[in-house]
Amino acid sequence: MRLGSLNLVDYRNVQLARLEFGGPRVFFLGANGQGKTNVLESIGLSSALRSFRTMETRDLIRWERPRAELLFGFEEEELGNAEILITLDRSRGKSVAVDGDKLLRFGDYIGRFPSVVFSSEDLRLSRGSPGERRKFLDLVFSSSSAEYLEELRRYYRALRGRNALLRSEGGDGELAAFENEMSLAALFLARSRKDGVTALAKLFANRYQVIGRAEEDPVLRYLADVEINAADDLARLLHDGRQRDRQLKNTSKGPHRDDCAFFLHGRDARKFASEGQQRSIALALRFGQVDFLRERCGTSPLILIDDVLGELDPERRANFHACLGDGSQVFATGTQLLDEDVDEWEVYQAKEGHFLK
Amino acid sequence: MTPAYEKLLDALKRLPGLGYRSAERIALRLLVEKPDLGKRVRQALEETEGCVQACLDCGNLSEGDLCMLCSDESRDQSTICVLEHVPDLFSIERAGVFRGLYHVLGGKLSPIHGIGPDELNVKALHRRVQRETTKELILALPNDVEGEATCHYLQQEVVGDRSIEVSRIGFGIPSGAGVTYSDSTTLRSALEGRNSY
Ligand SMILES: [Zn+2]
Repeated sequence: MRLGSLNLVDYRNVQLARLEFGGPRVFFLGANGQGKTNVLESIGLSSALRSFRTMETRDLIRWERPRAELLFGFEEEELGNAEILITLDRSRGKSVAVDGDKLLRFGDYIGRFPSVVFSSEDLRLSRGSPGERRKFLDLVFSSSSAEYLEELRRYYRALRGRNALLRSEGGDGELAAFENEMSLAALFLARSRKDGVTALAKLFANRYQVIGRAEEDPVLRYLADVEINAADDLARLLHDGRQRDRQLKNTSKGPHRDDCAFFLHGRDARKFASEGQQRSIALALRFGQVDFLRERCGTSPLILIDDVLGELDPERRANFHACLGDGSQVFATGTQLLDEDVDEWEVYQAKEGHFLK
Repeated sequence: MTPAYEKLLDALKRLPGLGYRSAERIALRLLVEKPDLGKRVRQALEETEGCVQACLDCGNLSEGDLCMLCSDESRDQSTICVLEHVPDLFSIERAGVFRGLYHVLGGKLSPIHGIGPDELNVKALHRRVQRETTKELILALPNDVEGEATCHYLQQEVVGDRSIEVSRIGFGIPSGAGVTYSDSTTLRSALEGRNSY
Protein backbone atom coordinates (compact mmCIF):
# COMPACT_ATOMS: atom_id res chain seq x y z
CA MET A 1 0.00 0.00 0.00
CA ARG A 2 1.25 3.48 -0.79
CA LEU A 3 -0.01 7.04 -0.57
CA GLY A 4 -0.04 8.62 -4.01
CA SER A 5 -1.58 11.99 -3.20
CA LEU A 6 -2.68 14.16 -0.30
CA ASN A 7 -4.86 17.27 -0.41
CA LEU A 8 -5.28 19.38 2.71
CA VAL A 9 -7.78 22.20 3.24
CA ASP A 10 -7.70 24.35 6.38
CA TYR A 11 -5.71 21.76 8.29
CA ARG A 12 -3.72 23.37 11.14
CA ASN A 13 -1.59 26.09 9.48
CA VAL A 14 -2.14 24.70 5.98
CA GLN A 15 -4.74 26.66 4.03
CA LEU A 16 -4.48 24.56 0.89
CA ALA A 17 -1.97 21.94 -0.20
CA ARG A 18 -2.03 19.49 -3.10
CA LEU A 19 0.80 17.03 -2.79
CA GLU A 20 1.73 14.19 -5.13
CA PHE A 21 4.15 11.50 -4.08
CA GLY A 22 5.96 9.64 -6.85
CA GLY A 23 8.81 7.94 -5.07
CA PRO A 24 9.12 5.65 -2.09
CA ARG A 25 10.76 8.33 0.12
CA VAL A 26 9.49 11.85 0.78
CA PHE A 27 11.23 14.50 2.88
CA PHE A 28 9.57 17.64 4.27
CA LEU A 29 12.36 20.12 4.89
CA GLY A 30 11.97 23.35 6.83
CA ALA A 31 12.52 25.34 10.00
CA ASN A 32 10.36 24.60 13.04
CA GLY A 33 6.77 25.86 13.00
CA GLN A 34 6.49 25.87 9.19
CA GLY A 35 4.05 22.98 9.00
CA LYS A 36 6.17 19.95 8.19
CA THR A 37 5.10 17.97 11.24
CA ASN A 38 1.49 18.95 10.49
CA VAL A 39 1.71 17.13 7.16
CA LEU A 40 3.18 14.06 8.83
CA GLU A 41 0.43 14.18 11.45
CA SER A 42 -2.23 14.41 8.75
CA ILE A 43 -0.82 11.31 7.04
CA GLY A 44 -0.90 9.46 10.38
CA LEU A 45 -4.55 10.45 10.73
CA SER A 46 -5.45 8.27 7.74
CA SER A 47 -4.65 5.03 9.57
CA ALA A 48 -5.91 5.58 13.12
CA LEU A 49 -8.39 8.39 12.29
CA ARG A 50 -6.87 10.22 15.22
CA SER A 51 -3.83 12.40 15.65
CA PHE A 52 -0.61 11.20 17.24
CA ARG A 53 -0.26 14.66 18.81
CA THR A 54 -3.67 15.67 20.17
CA MET A 55 -7.02 14.24 21.25
CA GLU A 56 -8.85 17.47 20.36
CA THR A 57 -10.35 17.54 16.86
CA ARG A 58 -10.61 21.32 17.16
CA ASP A 59 -6.81 21.69 17.39
CA LEU A 60 -6.55 20.30 13.87
CA ILE A 61 -8.78 22.89 12.22
CA ARG A 62 -7.23 26.11 10.92
CA TRP A 63 -7.84 29.23 12.97
CA GLU A 64 -11.40 30.59 12.58
CA ARG A 65 -12.36 28.08 9.87
CA PRO A 66 -15.45 25.84 10.27
CA ARG A 67 -13.84 22.61 9.11
CA ALA A 68 -10.73 20.92 7.81
CA GLU A 69 -10.69 18.41 4.95
CA LEU A 70 -8.08 15.77 4.19
CA LEU A 71 -8.24 13.78 0.96
CA PHE A 72 -5.96 10.77 0.61
CA GLY A 73 -5.30 8.87 -2.61
CA PHE A 74 -4.11 5.39 -1.67
CA GLU A 75 -2.93 2.66 -4.01
CA GLU A 76 -3.58 -0.80 -2.61
CA GLU A 77 -1.97 -3.97 -3.91
CA GLU A 78 -5.12 -5.99 -4.49
CA LEU A 79 -7.99 -3.52 -4.13
CA GLY A 80 -6.60 -0.89 -6.50
CA ASN A 81 -7.07 2.81 -5.75
CA ALA A 82 -8.97 4.07 -2.72
CA GLU A 83 -9.97 7.63 -1.93
CA ILE A 84 -10.32 8.50 1.75
CA LEU A 85 -11.93 11.79 2.77
CA ILE A 86 -11.67 12.85 6.41
CA THR A 87 -13.74 15.85 7.45
CA LEU A 88 -13.08 17.51 10.79
CA ASP A 89 -15.95 19.85 11.61
CA ARG A 90 -16.02 22.21 14.59
CA SER A 91 -19.63 21.41 15.46
CA ARG A 92 -20.22 17.99 13.85
CA GLY A 93 -16.88 16.38 14.75
CA LYS A 94 -15.13 13.84 12.58
CA SER A 95 -16.49 11.92 9.61
CA VAL A 96 -14.83 9.60 7.15
CA ALA A 97 -15.79 8.53 3.63
CA VAL A 98 -14.18 5.68 1.71
CA ASP A 99 -14.62 6.06 -2.07
CA GLY A 100 -17.56 8.35 -1.38
CA ASP A 101 -19.34 6.03 1.06
CA LYS A 102 -19.64 7.23 4.63
CA LEU A 103 -17.74 4.97 7.02
CA LEU A 104 -20.18 3.73 9.66
CA ARG A 105 -18.06 1.33 11.68
CA PHE A 106 -14.49 2.14 12.60
CA GLY A 107 -13.88 -1.61 13.06
CA ASP A 108 -14.19 -2.13 9.30
CA TYR A 109 -11.38 0.32 8.69
CA ILE A 110 -8.81 -0.85 11.22
CA GLY A 111 -5.61 -2.22 9.74
CA ARG A 112 -6.35 -1.14 6.16
CA PHE A 113 -3.91 1.78 5.98
CA PRO A 114 -1.46 1.12 8.83
CA SER A 115 1.32 3.55 9.68
CA VAL A 116 4.10 3.79 12.25
CA VAL A 117 5.39 7.06 13.69
CA PHE A 118 9.02 7.49 14.72
CA SER A 119 9.45 10.51 16.97
CA SER A 120 12.13 11.93 19.23
CA GLU A 121 9.85 11.13 22.17
CA ASP A 122 10.29 7.41 21.52
CA LEU A 123 13.09 7.31 24.09
CA ARG A 124 10.30 7.31 26.64
CA LEU A 125 9.35 3.81 25.49
CA SER A 126 12.27 2.24 27.31
CA ARG A 127 12.84 4.90 29.94
CA GLY A 128 9.37 6.22 30.73
CA SER A 129 6.57 5.03 32.97
CA PRO A 130 4.78 1.66 32.55
CA GLY A 131 1.79 3.63 31.24
CA GLU A 132 3.75 4.75 28.16
CA ARG A 133 4.74 1.19 27.30
CA ARG A 134 1.19 -0.04 27.89
CA LYS A 135 -0.09 2.68 25.58
CA PHE A 136 2.42 1.54 22.96
CA LEU A 137 1.37 -2.12 23.19
CA ASP A 138 -2.32 -1.21 23.05
CA LEU A 139 -1.71 0.99 20.02
CA VAL A 140 0.16 -1.77 18.17
CA PHE A 141 -2.45 -4.44 18.91
CA SER A 142 -5.54 -2.30 18.39
CA SER A 143 -4.25 -0.87 15.11
CA SER A 144 -4.18 -4.40 13.72
CA SER A 145 -7.27 -5.92 15.40
CA ALA A 146 -10.75 -4.43 15.75
CA GLU A 147 -11.57 -7.07 18.33
CA TYR A 148 -8.64 -6.04 20.53
CA LEU A 149 -9.78 -2.41 20.41
CA GLU A 150 -13.34 -3.46 21.30
CA GLU A 151 -12.25 -5.60 24.27
CA LEU A 152 -9.85 -2.89 25.45
CA ARG A 153 -12.67 -0.36 25.47
CA ARG A 154 -14.95 -2.77 27.34
CA TYR A 155 -12.26 -3.42 29.94
CA TYR A 156 -11.63 0.26 30.62
CA ARG A 157 -15.34 1.08 30.68
CA ALA A 158 -15.96 -1.67 33.26
CA LEU A 159 -12.88 -0.53 35.21
CA ARG A 160 -14.21 3.04 35.33
CA GLY A 161 -17.50 1.60 36.60
CA ARG A 162 -15.77 -0.34 39.37
CA ASN A 163 -13.66 2.66 40.39
CA ALA A 164 -16.77 4.85 40.54
CA LEU A 165 -18.37 2.22 42.82
CA LEU A 166 -15.29 2.17 45.05
CA ARG A 167 -15.50 5.94 45.41
CA SER A 168 -19.25 6.02 46.06
CA GLU A 169 -19.14 3.02 48.39
CA GLY A 170 -21.37 0.92 46.16
CA GLY A 171 -22.61 -2.49 47.24
CA ASP A 172 -20.86 -5.83 46.75
CA GLY A 173 -23.48 -6.98 44.25
CA GLU A 174 -22.76 -4.04 41.97
CA LEU A 175 -19.01 -4.49 42.35
CA ALA A 176 -19.36 -8.15 41.40
CA ALA A 177 -21.31 -7.18 38.28
CA PHE A 178 -18.57 -4.87 37.00
CA GLU A 179 -15.75 -7.19 38.12
CA ASN A 180 -17.33 -9.91 36.01
CA GLU A 181 -17.31 -7.65 32.95
CA MET A 182 -13.67 -6.68 33.59
CA SER A 183 -12.72 -10.30 33.99
CA LEU A 184 -14.18 -11.42 30.65
CA ALA A 185 -12.37 -8.68 28.74
CA ALA A 186 -9.19 -9.23 30.77
CA LEU A 187 -8.87 -12.82 29.60
CA PHE A 188 -8.94 -11.70 25.97
CA LEU A 189 -6.44 -8.89 26.63
CA ALA A 190 -4.06 -11.14 28.57
CA ARG A 191 -3.99 -13.76 25.81
CA SER A 192 -3.61 -11.21 23.03
CA ARG A 193 -0.85 -9.36 24.84
CA LYS A 194 1.04 -12.56 25.64
CA ASP A 195 0.90 -13.78 22.01
CA GLY A 196 1.42 -10.28 20.64
CA VAL A 197 4.49 -9.47 22.71
CA THR A 198 6.02 -12.86 21.90
CA ALA A 199 5.67 -12.08 18.18
CA LEU A 200 6.79 -8.48 18.61
CA ALA A 201 9.81 -9.52 20.72
CA LYS A 202 11.20 -11.67 17.89
CA LEU A 203 10.82 -8.86 15.36
CA PHE A 204 12.32 -6.37 17.81
CA ALA A 205 15.37 -8.57 18.45
CA ASN A 206 15.94 -9.06 14.70
CA ARG A 207 15.86 -5.33 14.09
CA TYR A 208 18.08 -4.57 17.07
CA GLN A 209 20.76 -6.78 15.50
CA VAL A 210 20.90 -4.30 12.60
CA ILE A 211 20.45 -1.01 14.51
CA GLY A 212 22.54 -1.73 17.58
CA ARG A 213 25.08 -4.42 18.29
CA ALA A 214 24.21 -8.05 17.80
CA GLU A 215 26.13 -9.35 20.78
CA GLU A 216 24.05 -7.33 23.23
CA ASP A 217 21.39 -10.06 23.28
CA PRO A 218 18.29 -7.81 23.21
CA VAL A 219 15.12 -9.17 24.85
CA LEU A 220 11.61 -7.73 25.12
CA ARG A 221 9.46 -9.33 27.81
CA TYR A 222 5.77 -8.97 28.73
CA LEU A 223 5.24 -8.24 32.43
CA ALA A 224 1.65 -9.13 33.29
CA ASP A 225 0.44 -7.52 36.52
CA VAL A 226 -1.60 -10.64 37.28
CA GLU A 227 -1.64 -14.12 35.75
CA ILE A 228 -4.91 -14.67 33.86
CA ASN A 229 -5.76 -18.05 32.30
CA ALA A 230 -9.53 -18.35 32.74
CA ALA A 231 -12.58 -16.11 32.41
CA ASP A 232 -13.09 -15.74 36.16
CA ASP A 233 -9.43 -15.43 37.27
CA LEU A 234 -9.45 -11.65 37.51
CA ALA A 235 -12.96 -11.60 39.05
CA ARG A 236 -11.72 -13.78 41.90
CA LEU A 237 -8.67 -11.59 42.49
CA LEU A 238 -10.75 -8.41 42.45
CA HIS A 239 -13.25 -9.96 44.83
CA ASP A 240 -10.48 -10.83 47.29
CA GLY A 241 -8.95 -7.37 47.02
CA ARG A 242 -12.13 -5.39 47.65
CA GLN A 243 -11.28 -4.27 51.15
CA ARG A 244 -7.92 -2.82 50.10
CA ASP A 245 -9.41 -1.29 46.94
CA ARG A 246 -12.25 0.31 48.90
CA GLN A 247 -9.66 2.03 51.07
CA LEU A 248 -7.61 3.14 48.05
CA LYS A 249 -10.82 4.06 46.16
CA ASN A 250 -9.09 2.59 43.14
CA THR A 251 -8.55 -0.79 41.45
CA SER A 252 -5.03 -1.80 42.35
CA LYS A 253 -4.62 -4.97 40.29
CA GLY A 254 -5.36 -5.97 36.72
CA PRO A 255 -4.27 -5.65 33.08
CA HIS A 256 -4.43 -1.85 33.41
CA ARG A 257 -1.18 -2.24 35.37
CA ASP A 258 0.60 -4.44 32.80
CA ASP A 259 4.06 -3.47 31.58
CA CYS A 260 6.87 -4.77 29.41
CA ALA A 261 10.63 -4.50 29.84
CA PHE A 262 13.79 -4.54 27.74
CA PHE A 263 16.93 -6.42 28.62
CA LEU A 264 20.46 -6.20 27.21
CA HIS A 265 22.96 -8.82 28.33
CA GLY A 266 20.23 -10.04 30.68
CA ARG A 267 20.13 -6.71 32.53
CA ASP A 268 17.18 -4.32 32.77
CA ALA A 269 17.77 -1.70 30.09
CA ARG A 270 15.78 0.92 31.97
CA LYS A 271 18.50 1.05 34.62
CA PHE A 272 21.66 -0.09 32.84
CA ALA A 273 21.45 0.88 29.15
CA SER A 274 23.47 3.82 27.82
CA GLU A 275 21.90 6.76 25.97
CA GLY A 276 22.92 5.18 22.64
CA GLN A 277 21.49 1.80 23.59
CA GLN A 278 18.19 3.43 24.65
CA ARG A 279 18.04 5.04 21.22
CA SER A 280 18.68 1.68 19.53
CA ILE A 281 15.93 0.08 21.62
CA ALA A 282 13.44 2.79 20.61
CA LEU A 283 14.31 2.48 16.91
CA ALA A 284 14.30 -1.34 16.92
CA LEU A 285 10.92 -1.31 18.66
CA ARG A 286 9.41 1.00 16.03
CA PHE A 287 10.79 -1.19 13.25
CA GLY A 288 9.42 -4.20 15.13
CA GLN A 289 6.03 -2.44 15.04
CA VAL A 290 6.41 -1.98 11.27
CA ASP A 291 7.10 -5.72 10.82
CA PHE A 292 4.30 -6.71 13.20
CA LEU A 293 1.72 -4.60 11.34
CA ARG A 294 2.97 -5.92 8.00
CA GLU A 295 2.36 -9.49 9.24
CA ARG A 296 -1.02 -8.84 10.83
CA CYS A 297 -2.49 -6.34 8.36
CA GLY A 298 -1.08 -7.97 5.25
CA THR A 299 0.33 -4.72 3.86
CA SER A 300 3.44 -2.61 4.44
CA PRO A 301 2.70 0.27 6.83
CA LEU A 302 3.68 3.82 5.96
CA ILE A 303 6.71 4.94 7.96
CA LEU A 304 6.46 8.48 9.36
CA ILE A 305 9.68 9.87 10.78
CA ASP A 306 9.29 13.09 12.73
CA ASP A 307 12.58 14.93 13.18
CA VAL A 308 14.53 11.86 14.26
CA LEU A 309 17.27 11.50 11.63
CA GLY A 310 19.21 14.57 12.75
CA GLU A 311 19.64 13.14 16.23
CA LEU A 312 21.38 9.96 15.14
CA ASP A 313 25.15 9.47 15.04
CA PRO A 314 26.61 8.47 11.64
CA GLU A 315 26.76 4.75 12.46
CA ARG A 316 23.17 4.53 13.67
CA ARG A 317 21.99 6.64 10.77
CA ALA A 318 23.60 4.22 8.32
CA ASN A 319 21.99 1.30 10.14
CA PHE A 320 18.67 3.13 10.12
CA HIS A 321 18.84 3.54 6.35
CA ALA A 322 19.62 -0.14 5.99
CA CYS A 323 16.42 -0.88 7.95
CA LEU A 324 14.27 1.34 5.74
CA GLY A 325 14.96 -0.50 2.53
CA ASP A 326 12.14 -3.01 2.69
CA GLY A 327 9.14 -1.85 0.74
CA SER A 328 7.47 0.60 3.11
CA GLN A 329 6.84 4.10 1.82
CA VAL A 330 8.67 6.61 4.02
CA PHE A 331 7.74 10.19 4.96
CA ALA A 332 10.26 12.15 7.01
CA THR A 333 10.69 15.66 8.38
CA GLY A 334 13.80 17.57 9.39
CA THR A 335 15.39 20.98 9.64
CA GLN A 336 18.24 19.90 7.41
CA LEU A 337 19.15 17.19 4.94
CA LEU A 338 22.70 15.95 4.55
CA ASP A 339 24.16 16.36 1.04
CA GLU A 340 24.88 12.65 0.81
CA ASP A 341 21.17 11.88 1.37
CA VAL A 342 19.65 14.40 -1.05
CA ASP A 343 19.38 11.99 -3.98
CA GLU A 344 17.42 9.44 -2.02
CA TRP A 345 14.51 11.71 -1.19
CA GLU A 346 11.73 13.50 -2.99
CA VAL A 347 12.09 16.82 -1.15
CA TYR A 348 9.34 19.32 -0.28
CA GLN A 349 10.33 22.67 1.24
CA ALA A 350 7.89 23.66 4.00
CA LYS A 351 7.31 27.37 4.59
CA GLU A 352 4.40 28.97 6.46
CA GLY A 353 2.01 26.18 5.58
CA HIS A 354 3.06 25.97 1.91
CA PHE A 355 5.01 23.13 0.33
CA LEU A 356 7.24 23.46 -2.71
CA LYS A 357 8.95 20.65 -4.53
CA MET B 1 -37.62 37.03 20.10
CA THR B 2 -39.75 37.77 23.14
CA PRO B 3 -39.32 36.80 26.81
CA ALA B 4 -42.21 34.32 26.64
CA TYR B 5 -40.79 32.70 23.51
CA GLU B 6 -37.38 32.41 25.18
CA LYS B 7 -39.00 30.71 28.16
CA LEU B 8 -40.73 28.13 25.98
CA LEU B 9 -37.51 27.54 24.05
CA ASP B 10 -35.62 27.01 27.27
CA ALA B 11 -38.18 24.43 28.47
CA LEU B 12 -38.16 22.58 25.13
CA LYS B 13 -34.37 22.37 25.06
CA ARG B 14 -34.49 20.32 28.25
CA LEU B 15 -36.40 17.51 26.50
CA PRO B 16 -34.26 14.50 25.58
CA GLY B 17 -32.90 14.49 22.06
CA LEU B 18 -33.70 18.14 21.36
CA GLY B 19 -30.87 20.54 20.59
CA TYR B 20 -31.24 24.28 20.14
CA ARG B 21 -32.20 24.03 16.47
CA SER B 22 -34.99 21.47 16.90
CA ALA B 23 -36.33 23.28 19.98
CA GLU B 24 -36.50 26.46 17.89
CA ARG B 25 -38.39 24.70 15.10
CA ILE B 26 -40.88 23.16 17.51
CA ALA B 27 -41.48 26.45 19.35
CA LEU B 28 -42.17 28.30 16.07
CA ARG B 29 -44.43 25.51 14.83
CA LEU B 30 -46.52 25.55 18.02
CA LEU B 31 -46.75 29.33 18.40
CA VAL B 32 -46.91 30.75 14.88
CA GLU B 33 -47.20 28.21 12.10
CA LYS B 34 -49.76 25.81 13.62
CA PRO B 35 -51.43 27.41 16.65
CA ASP B 36 -54.14 24.68 16.54
CA LEU B 37 -51.48 22.04 17.07
CA GLY B 38 -50.16 23.99 20.05
CA LYS B 39 -53.65 23.92 21.54
CA ARG B 40 -53.91 20.15 21.04
CA VAL B 41 -50.55 19.54 22.69
CA ARG B 42 -51.56 21.69 25.67
CA GLN B 43 -54.85 19.80 26.08
CA ALA B 44 -53.18 16.40 25.85
CA LEU B 45 -50.58 17.37 28.44
CA GLU B 46 -53.27 18.63 30.79
CA GLU B 47 -55.32 15.45 30.41
CA THR B 48 -52.39 13.14 31.11
CA GLU B 49 -51.24 15.10 34.13
CA GLY B 50 -51.83 13.12 37.30
CA CYS B 51 -53.52 10.32 35.37
CA VAL B 52 -50.66 8.49 33.63
CA GLN B 53 -48.03 6.94 35.90
CA ALA B 54 -45.70 3.96 36.05
CA CYS B 55 -47.36 0.55 36.66
CA LEU B 56 -46.57 -0.53 40.24
CA ASP B 57 -45.66 -4.02 39.06
CA CYS B 58 -43.78 -3.62 35.82
CA GLY B 59 -43.02 0.07 35.30
CA ASN B 60 -44.98 0.32 32.04
CA LEU B 61 -47.21 3.36 31.41
CA SER B 62 -50.49 2.94 33.23
CA GLU B 63 -53.66 4.87 34.02
CA GLY B 64 -54.24 2.91 37.23
CA ASP B 65 -52.07 0.99 39.71
CA LEU B 66 -51.57 -1.84 37.21
CA CYS B 67 -51.07 -1.44 33.47
CA MET B 68 -53.21 -3.12 30.80
CA LEU B 69 -50.66 -5.86 30.26
CA CYS B 70 -50.27 -6.77 33.94
CA SER B 71 -54.08 -6.87 34.35
CA ASP B 72 -54.52 -9.13 31.31
CA GLU B 73 -54.93 -12.64 32.74
CA SER B 74 -54.68 -14.29 29.35
CA ARG B 75 -50.96 -13.45 29.24
CA ASP B 76 -48.39 -16.01 30.34
CA GLN B 77 -47.82 -15.11 34.01
CA SER B 78 -44.74 -17.34 34.37
CA THR B 79 -42.41 -15.41 32.04
CA ILE B 80 -41.05 -11.91 32.60
CA CYS B 81 -39.08 -10.05 29.95
CA VAL B 82 -36.78 -7.44 31.53
CA LEU B 83 -36.21 -4.26 29.53
CA GLU B 84 -34.37 -0.99 29.86
CA HIS B 85 -37.04 1.49 28.70
CA VAL B 86 -40.78 1.66 27.98
CA PRO B 87 -40.24 2.14 24.20
CA ASP B 88 -38.46 -1.26 24.17
CA LEU B 89 -41.70 -2.73 25.50
CA PHE B 90 -43.74 -0.97 22.80
CA SER B 91 -41.44 -2.42 20.12
CA ILE B 92 -41.88 -6.00 21.31
CA GLU B 93 -45.64 -5.54 21.73
CA ARG B 94 -45.97 -4.08 18.23
CA ALA B 95 -44.07 -7.07 16.85
CA GLY B 96 -46.54 -9.35 18.67
CA VAL B 97 -43.85 -11.94 19.33
CA PHE B 98 -44.17 -12.25 23.10
CA ARG B 99 -47.18 -13.18 25.27
CA GLY B 100 -45.65 -13.01 28.77
CA LEU B 101 -45.22 -10.10 31.17
CA TYR B 102 -42.64 -7.31 31.13
CA HIS B 103 -40.48 -5.50 33.61
CA VAL B 104 -39.09 -2.05 32.77
CA LEU B 105 -35.99 -1.08 34.77
CA GLY B 106 -35.89 2.53 33.60
CA GLY B 107 -32.16 2.34 32.82
CA LYS B 108 -29.14 0.20 33.56
CA LEU B 109 -26.48 0.16 36.24
CA SER B 110 -24.03 2.98 35.53
CA PRO B 111 -21.80 3.92 38.48
CA ILE B 112 -20.15 6.68 36.46
CA HIS B 113 -23.54 8.40 36.18
CA GLY B 114 -24.45 7.58 39.77
CA ILE B 115 -27.09 5.04 38.76
CA GLY B 116 -27.28 2.08 41.12
CA PRO B 117 -30.02 -0.47 41.90
CA ASP B 118 -31.91 2.10 44.01
CA GLU B 119 -32.25 4.41 41.03
CA LEU B 120 -33.71 1.57 38.94
CA ASN B 121 -36.99 -0.33 39.21
CA VAL B 122 -35.28 -3.30 40.89
CA LYS B 123 -37.23 -3.56 44.17
CA ALA B 124 -40.48 -4.22 42.31
CA LEU B 125 -38.80 -7.02 40.35
CA HIS B 126 -37.63 -8.52 43.62
CA ARG B 127 -41.20 -8.43 44.90
CA ARG B 128 -42.49 -10.06 41.75
CA VAL B 129 -40.09 -13.01 41.78
CA GLN B 130 -40.88 -13.60 45.47
CA ARG B 131 -44.50 -14.32 44.52
CA GLU B 132 -43.19 -17.56 43.04
CA THR B 133 -45.30 -17.45 39.89
CA THR B 134 -42.24 -16.62 37.76
CA LYS B 135 -40.53 -19.54 36.02
CA GLU B 136 -38.42 -17.67 33.48
CA LEU B 137 -36.73 -14.31 33.30
CA ILE B 138 -35.69 -13.10 29.84
CA LEU B 139 -33.02 -10.41 30.03
CA ALA B 140 -33.50 -8.11 27.04
CA LEU B 141 -31.00 -5.45 28.06
CA PRO B 142 -28.35 -4.08 25.68
CA ASN B 143 -25.04 -5.93 25.35
CA ASP B 144 -22.75 -3.03 26.25
CA VAL B 145 -20.73 -3.10 29.49
CA GLU B 146 -23.49 -1.55 31.62
CA GLY B 147 -26.19 -3.79 30.13
CA GLU B 148 -24.17 -6.95 30.76
CA ALA B 149 -23.27 -5.82 34.30
CA THR B 150 -26.96 -5.21 35.01
CA CYS B 151 -27.81 -8.73 33.80
CA HIS B 152 -25.14 -10.18 36.09
CA TYR B 153 -26.50 -8.16 39.00
CA LEU B 154 -30.11 -9.29 38.45
CA GLN B 155 -29.04 -12.92 38.11
CA GLN B 156 -26.99 -12.83 41.34
CA GLU B 157 -28.95 -10.43 43.54
CA VAL B 158 -32.57 -10.80 42.42
CA VAL B 159 -32.83 -14.37 41.16
CA GLY B 160 -30.12 -15.85 43.40
CA ASP B 161 -30.87 -19.46 44.35
CA ARG B 162 -34.51 -19.42 43.24
CA SER B 163 -35.37 -22.02 40.64
CA ILE B 164 -36.03 -19.50 37.89
CA GLU B 165 -34.61 -20.03 34.46
CA VAL B 166 -32.67 -16.96 33.32
CA SER B 167 -32.04 -16.36 29.63
CA ARG B 168 -30.44 -13.61 27.61
CA ILE B 169 -31.78 -12.44 24.25
CA GLY B 170 -29.46 -13.12 21.31
CA PHE B 171 -27.54 -10.38 19.51
CA GLY B 172 -26.93 -11.27 15.94
CA ILE B 173 -27.11 -10.39 12.31
CA PRO B 174 -30.23 -8.40 11.37
CA SER B 175 -32.58 -10.34 9.09
CA GLY B 176 -31.99 -9.58 5.47
CA ALA B 177 -28.34 -8.73 6.16
CA GLY B 178 -25.50 -11.09 5.41
CA VAL B 179 -22.34 -12.21 7.14
CA THR B 180 -20.07 -10.17 4.83
CA TYR B 181 -21.12 -6.77 6.11
CA SER B 182 -21.32 -7.54 9.83
CA ASP B 183 -18.75 -6.20 12.28
CA SER B 184 -16.71 -8.50 14.51
CA THR B 185 -18.78 -7.96 17.69
CA THR B 186 -22.01 -8.83 15.88
CA LEU B 187 -20.44 -11.85 14.23
CA ARG B 188 -19.09 -13.15 17.51
CA SER B 189 -22.38 -12.86 19.37
CA ALA B 190 -24.19 -14.35 16.38
CA LEU B 191 -21.85 -17.35 16.47
CA GLU B 192 -22.04 -17.69 20.23
CA GLY B 193 -25.83 -17.56 20.11
CA ARG B 194 -26.17 -20.10 17.27
CA ASN B 195 -28.95 -22.71 17.31
CA SER B 196 -28.90 -26.35 16.22
CA TYR B 197 -30.35 -26.89 12.76
ZN1 LIG C 1 -47.56 -3.53 34.43
